[in-house]
Amino acid sequence: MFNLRPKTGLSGFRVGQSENQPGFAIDENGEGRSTLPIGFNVPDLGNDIYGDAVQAASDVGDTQPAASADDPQGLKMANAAAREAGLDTPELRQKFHRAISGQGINSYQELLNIARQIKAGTY
Amino acid sequence: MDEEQKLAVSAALRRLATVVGEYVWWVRRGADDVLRLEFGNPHLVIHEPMQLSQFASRTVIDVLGRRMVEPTGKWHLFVEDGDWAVVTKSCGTRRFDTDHVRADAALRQLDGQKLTSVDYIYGMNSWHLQFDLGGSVTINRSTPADNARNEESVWALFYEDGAWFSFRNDMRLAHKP
Repeated sequence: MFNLRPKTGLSGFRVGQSENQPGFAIDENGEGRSTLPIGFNVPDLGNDIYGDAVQAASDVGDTQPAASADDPQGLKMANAAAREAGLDTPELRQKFHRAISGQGINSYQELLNIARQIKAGTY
Repeated sequence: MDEEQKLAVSAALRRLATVVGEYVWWVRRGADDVLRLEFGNPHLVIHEPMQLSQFASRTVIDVLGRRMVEPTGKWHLFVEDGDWAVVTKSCGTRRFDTDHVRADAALRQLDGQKLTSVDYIYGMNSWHLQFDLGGSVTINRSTPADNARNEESVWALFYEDGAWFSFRNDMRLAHKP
């Protein structure tokens, strides 16, 4: 489940902000320090538009793929076809997704056939 | 998190940092609700029709037997196995959102925003991309319970010259120089 608000007390990395250098955020005592820049204000979820948006994302609910006997891979059918066909690099899988996106293919066998062709060919 | 994983996060952040300052465009969901985003100036990627056997199905011919021309950014971010969420000033969605109107609205509002920062939030094991008009993308690592496999990518960043860099479910890196 997502928790969409950055927690200011967590240590971690940060890039793209002048306040901190990329890398581990560890203070002189070896403790984690805030990775957020000084003055950064986390949106108040209670009364601003960010709150509504975050709530909207949260309201989507638990959308994890629900596996079943007929659909053992749940909603990740294309991923399962890519695995079975041996598309073992992000490059091949990205090509596969580029090919099938927007096609409305809901047959596992057809997805598998396409994935196998991409694995064997020069697409 | 072991030392190698920490180094992997650090290296991955440096790669993502190269995209900071770029506009995101053509934000869209793909099959399995993967998230695809383009950054930087566009160019055309062209896939010529494949030579297919006479036994190929109509669907295979339709997908692979045609020339596909697609605009692609200097960088293409492919959120493959990560569970993602997009939040903008007035809308939010996440992977496998069944409300397509809501999902489309959120992605449309993210489209055109400029990437301002990239974080890795340790407590949540999340990647957090922040944009200039209030949009954000959060990417959580999939778990074995989600049918995730170690060698598959949470996300992968493709460069226009064909190089790619990916952060895997096991928090290791893979890349093609």
